[in-house]
Amino acid sequence: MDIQIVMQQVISGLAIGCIYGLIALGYSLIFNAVDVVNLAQGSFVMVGAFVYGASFVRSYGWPAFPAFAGLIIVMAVFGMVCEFFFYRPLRYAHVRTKLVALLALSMLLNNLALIIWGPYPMGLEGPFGTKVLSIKGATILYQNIYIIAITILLLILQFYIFFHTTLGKVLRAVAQDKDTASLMGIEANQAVSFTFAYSSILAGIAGMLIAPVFTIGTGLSQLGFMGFGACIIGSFTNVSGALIGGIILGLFEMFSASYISSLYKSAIVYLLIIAFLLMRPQGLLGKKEEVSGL
Amino acid sequence: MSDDIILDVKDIGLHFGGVKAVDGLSFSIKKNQIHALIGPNGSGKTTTLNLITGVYQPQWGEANFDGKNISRMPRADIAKIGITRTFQNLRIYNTLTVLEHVLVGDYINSNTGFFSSVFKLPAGRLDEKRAVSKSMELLEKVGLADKAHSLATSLSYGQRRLLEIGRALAVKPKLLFLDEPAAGMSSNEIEQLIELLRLLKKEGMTIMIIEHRMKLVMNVADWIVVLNYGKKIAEGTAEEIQNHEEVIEAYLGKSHQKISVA
Amino acid sequence: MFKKERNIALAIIFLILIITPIFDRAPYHIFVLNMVAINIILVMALNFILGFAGQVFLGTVGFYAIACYSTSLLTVNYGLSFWQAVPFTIIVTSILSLILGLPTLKLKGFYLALMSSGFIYIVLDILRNWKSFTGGVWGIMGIPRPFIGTTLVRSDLHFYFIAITITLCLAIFAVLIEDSKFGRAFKAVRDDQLSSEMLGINSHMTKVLAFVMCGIYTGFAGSLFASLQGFVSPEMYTFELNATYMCMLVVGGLGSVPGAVLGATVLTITTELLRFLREKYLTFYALLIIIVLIYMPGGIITYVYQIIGRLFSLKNKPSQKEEINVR
Ligand SMILES: Nc1ncnc2c1ncn2[C@@H]1O[C@H](COP(=O)(O)OP(=O)(O)OP(=O)(O)O)[C@@H](O)[C@H]1O
Ligand SMILES: [Mg+2]
Repeated sequence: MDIQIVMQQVISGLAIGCIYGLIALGYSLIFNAVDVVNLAQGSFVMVGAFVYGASFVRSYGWPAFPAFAGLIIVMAVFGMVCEFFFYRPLRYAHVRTKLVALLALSMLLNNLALIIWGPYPMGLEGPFGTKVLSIKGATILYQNIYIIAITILLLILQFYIFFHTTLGKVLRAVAQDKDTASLMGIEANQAVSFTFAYSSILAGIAGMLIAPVFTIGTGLSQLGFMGFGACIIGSFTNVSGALIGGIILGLFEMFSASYISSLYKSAIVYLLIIAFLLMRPQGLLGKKEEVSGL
Repeated sequence: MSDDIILDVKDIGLHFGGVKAVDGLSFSIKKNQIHALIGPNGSGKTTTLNLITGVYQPQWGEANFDGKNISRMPRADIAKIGITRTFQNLRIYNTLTVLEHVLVGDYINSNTGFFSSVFKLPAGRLDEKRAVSKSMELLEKVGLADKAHSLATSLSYGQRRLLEIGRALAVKPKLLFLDEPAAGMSSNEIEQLIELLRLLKKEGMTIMIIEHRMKLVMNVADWIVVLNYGKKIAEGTAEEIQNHEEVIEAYLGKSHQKISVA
Repeated sequence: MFKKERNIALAIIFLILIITPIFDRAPYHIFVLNMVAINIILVMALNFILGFAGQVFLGTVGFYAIACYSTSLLTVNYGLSFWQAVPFTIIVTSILSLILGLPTLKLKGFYLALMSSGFIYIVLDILRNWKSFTGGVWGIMGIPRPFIGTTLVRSDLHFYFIAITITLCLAIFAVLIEDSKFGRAFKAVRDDQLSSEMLGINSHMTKVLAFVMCGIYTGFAGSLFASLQGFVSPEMYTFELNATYMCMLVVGGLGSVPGAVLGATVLTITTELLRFLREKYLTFYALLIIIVLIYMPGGIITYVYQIIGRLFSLKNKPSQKEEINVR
């Protein structure tokens, strides 16, 4: 195999992996706050892609930056609304009830998207179009570099928000210990609402980044599963675990599609995730007692 | 002497972050005696019990039951070899009746197969009959027979504690742990509990009871182990414990509770 | 608790289902009745794992697809008769539930939910792409109807009597399991896993058993559907369809066999009435799930039990008083 081709594949795998990592980050935030996996996270990603790509860019013709700002605001509100109507009434219910409700939310979003934006997938030109960068014969899409760069920027931003702002304090407090959070005078409801908003923003950005790679359609909600996969491989409770899991998954997907079979790509990825579940269910960076069944 | 020992806990420990919940604890339980594990709030009693019954894995040390190391055994297997328990913060089944609770306790004592039991074949029917009559007997014993067909959620707090004991007895344990069984009980129910403990001892059961009420402890316990900050500070008979300096201090210092039998 | 109410409710619903064709034999209605029977089996399957054992399973449609294809392949490619194909189909779906259940049911509750949510995509990938085996997007045609004795069951009406008989047997089987020690173990593990383990119940294997029951029931439903329809193709199976089955169970009553039966019956008919909305009916179903979870978590079957209790005056007075005392 050609070193150039391998390099191209590594970059695309990394780019996709970064997006999986962003989705996984959204899961792990909510999971750490309320002990529930947000089964609707994939649909949040889809909503982000539709809002940014289909509405702001394609319909309204907004330039990239205002569209991005609009997306952040819309996703924040959207996350809070979802929390208020679909999570909060059930906050004292059993986890399985919450899971079923979140599944229903995901179905609701997918079908509303069909009604609002129609059933036909839409293409979206990224800010760099299909421009490529040639390094020693390897052609690399600017788009992929852009995805990786944005992810790194987001991580730095997240680090800053988490450790240097009041919002960050709230999010960390909720993620670590709900009781302490309430001692700190933070309304538990409000904190969970923030968490949903934040993880919805992450999903929205993932949607925005992925839209030019795939097409915008309800199928994007399937990416939620790749986010789970990233969490299972990395860890549900560890932020860097989620990102590392995403990158491993992205690279694995890219190489298995090229060298094993592209038709059965998702089946192969699924087997990898099952293998991880069997061998190291807590993920590469997780602790064992976090996963044992109770 | 040593073949009397049914459970031997050796230097067991578990820390939650900085909290030394159980910190190198050793004690042993003798056959057919009522033991008590006492100590101020947060001294690690429940955690000790959780370590023995496999709810938590000890970070070091081990517990031997009948000469077999049971630390790191799957939880269900620990019940199968004869150790079971009740819970400080009650854990009853919201959708099951009182009788069904005890039948669930009997689950491991029934060995009819799937088809025999589901299709009520003769063997299955016989076994179900045995299970029900034994469960009713146990309900009689804990004084809940008249409530057999009500939902357990309709019971009072004290009755739920008795139900948990009945459910645990259905397992036919060799060693029974009771975590604060008298909490929330009326004085009548406490009398009933004391009677029950004595009866169980007479029948050959080994019991360890975790309890705050000194009156009850001093009344029934043959041997008392006292914990503070995850460590054993004393053990002995009721009389010895009542006069133990460090014990009195631990209690007075912590919760201003006076130890008295009165 | 509500054993009598449950049995009466089941008897009434099945009686209605069995006698309906006496009054109404419009071919379309008979087809819908067949779908009712099949959906009842599917929802009872989901009830085993989600209702009895309390584990969120989102792979019903994936299992169903595999069951349908197993029967199709066994009959069309390997020349088995319908009745010969059924047991093999059930073996296939049970093995599938073991593969998916053994690793995930040992872990926290959401792992099964996660792994099963991705399952349908894998199944669809394989069904669409393994053309030589599954017929690709065209699917498989010419799946035979069952024989009874030496006569082929051609008419949908006669097929319905077979389907509803199987459904009734499976409903009775489900109730028998619920009343056995295994049913108690399911509910005990669901209600409080830790205390069940302290009583010596292996919660992992208990959940796996419930999941295998789910697989077995799905196998029956798949065999019946393949044979009823006569052909299978991948686009019949969508992740969205899961929400429909979930909705049937939640609306009917989680953890209740007549709840599952009633939910499947009512919502299969409503789905047909809402055909003109195309897929948009799923929006309502999704909303319905959430509304029912919030405002009547027991499902409509609780009201049915109340009515039956009153009609047949089943409630004995003392237990009623007790319940009032607690509040
Ligand atoms: N799961 C846990 N995580 C963190 N800390 C814990 C956990 N369980 C117990 N602890 C801590 O360990 C210490 C011992 O707790 P434990 O429940 O064993 O005490 P106890 O003697 O049973 O008290 P009580 O009389 O109140 O029941 C306490 O400081 C408690 O806060
Ligand atoms: Mg305690």
